[in-house]
Amino acid sequence: MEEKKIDELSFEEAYGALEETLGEMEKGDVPLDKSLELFKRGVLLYKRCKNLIDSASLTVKEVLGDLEKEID
Amino acid sequence: MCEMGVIELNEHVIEALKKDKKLNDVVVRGEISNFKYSGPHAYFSLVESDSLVNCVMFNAAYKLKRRNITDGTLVKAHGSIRVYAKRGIYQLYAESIKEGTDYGALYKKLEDLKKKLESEGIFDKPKKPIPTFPKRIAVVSSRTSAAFRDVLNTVKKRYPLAEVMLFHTGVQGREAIEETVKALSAADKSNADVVLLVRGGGSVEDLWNFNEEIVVRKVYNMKKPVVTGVGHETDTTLVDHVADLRAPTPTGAAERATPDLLELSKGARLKFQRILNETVSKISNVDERASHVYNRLKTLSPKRLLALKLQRLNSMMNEAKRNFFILSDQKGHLVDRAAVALKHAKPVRMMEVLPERTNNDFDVLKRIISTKIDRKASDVNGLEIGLKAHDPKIPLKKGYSLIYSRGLLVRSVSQIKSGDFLKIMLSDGEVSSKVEEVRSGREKDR
Repeated sequence: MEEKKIDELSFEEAYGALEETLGEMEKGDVPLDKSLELFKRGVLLYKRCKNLIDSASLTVKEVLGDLEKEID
Repeated sequence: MCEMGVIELNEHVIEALKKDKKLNDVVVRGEISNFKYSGPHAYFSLVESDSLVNCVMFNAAYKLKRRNITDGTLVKAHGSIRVYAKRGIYQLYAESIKEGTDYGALYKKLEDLKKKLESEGIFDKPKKPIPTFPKRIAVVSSRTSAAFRDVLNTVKKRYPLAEVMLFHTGVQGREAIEETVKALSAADKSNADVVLLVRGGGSVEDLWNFNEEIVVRKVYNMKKPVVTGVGHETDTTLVDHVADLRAPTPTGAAERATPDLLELSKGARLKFQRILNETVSKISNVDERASHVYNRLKTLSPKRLLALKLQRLNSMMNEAKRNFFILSDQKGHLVDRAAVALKHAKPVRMMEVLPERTNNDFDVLKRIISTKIDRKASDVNGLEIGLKAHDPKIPLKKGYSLIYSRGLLVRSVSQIKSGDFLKIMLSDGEVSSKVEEVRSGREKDR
């Protein structure tokens, strides 16, 4: 469930979540099992970010009134 | 460092200026100031804001057909920059003057509008934040413009995750003003996250649409954050004052509206690295804590306590041993001292002294005994002498003889009877004889 959700995150969401995960880990009073859980999440989020970066290609559209036309 | 005279310096500057192609053939824009003829020549200054350049036009009477150019007129003067050595100044030696648009009026209009909008507080509007990760970027510009191309290239390079939406509009000429406003409205209504209003460099007139009140008000009223990138770095238009962010160029606008994916990639890697470090450190922390607890447990375990006690015992034993040795060492000294003392004490001393004394006594005794012996010896000698005097053999030598009967010395005739065998001892031998007759003395006397 969680993993599928991560796969659907936008870059901004994944990057933010990665930041959040790090922040939580750095709080200092995290128990070990929670830490490991966060680590697992960190791995998935990093992977998601990486995938998005690697597969990014610019989309350009021209908007004409209510019409949208894809251009390159 | 070099040293030179004034002439040499000016000549040097003249030579340096001659080498500068731009300054040898330049059109200078500015406002005419202090225009006056002196003979056939005209002298004036060109002013822009608080900057000024002196100008001279030789044969202006001919070149300008004695036309007077009024101060404040915006012109383009073509000529070259040279040094007037006599006064050590540089000037524009103008060959022609072209009176352009009435920039004065244009600028006045701009200033008036600026003041009006300022008084309305339009320029003080709070700036909307520009999203860091835009999903869709609306670009209001001409589809064929270099500005739009610059935006595309920049977004492609920096953040290809975003979608660029072009809202085409002409960007020059009065007919484009309305179009620009419409494009801005459409962009504002779209699902874009940010709107870029961009146009490449150009003259003041070229960029004028971006000073138009209707455009400025439209930008001011936009719900979406707007980033402007109009003209070059030095150009500022009124839309820049109402935009949420003013970039110096279209490229700059695209840069400010997008994060750098390369940096983000680095950032993500760094964050992940930190997560990794945090995990590793967490695990080693837990491990360390566990070890600590284990060690504490070990410390508290009876076995350990026993071992500790044993250790203490051992160390106490060692201490005792050491103390014993020290003590015995000390006592040893005491014993030695006592031995010495004992040695000097009587019995031992006596033991040592006694033989000596015994010897002495022995000697004394010897002396006493030998004295006694000597004395006895002399006594014996005396006796011997006495004895010798009483030796029976001595009278024998005088002619006396000794008569033994039956081994006994015969002192009286009574001891013998006739027939007895007598032994008569003489000094030089003995004689055996037989008694024939015995007579007493009286009988003999008779």
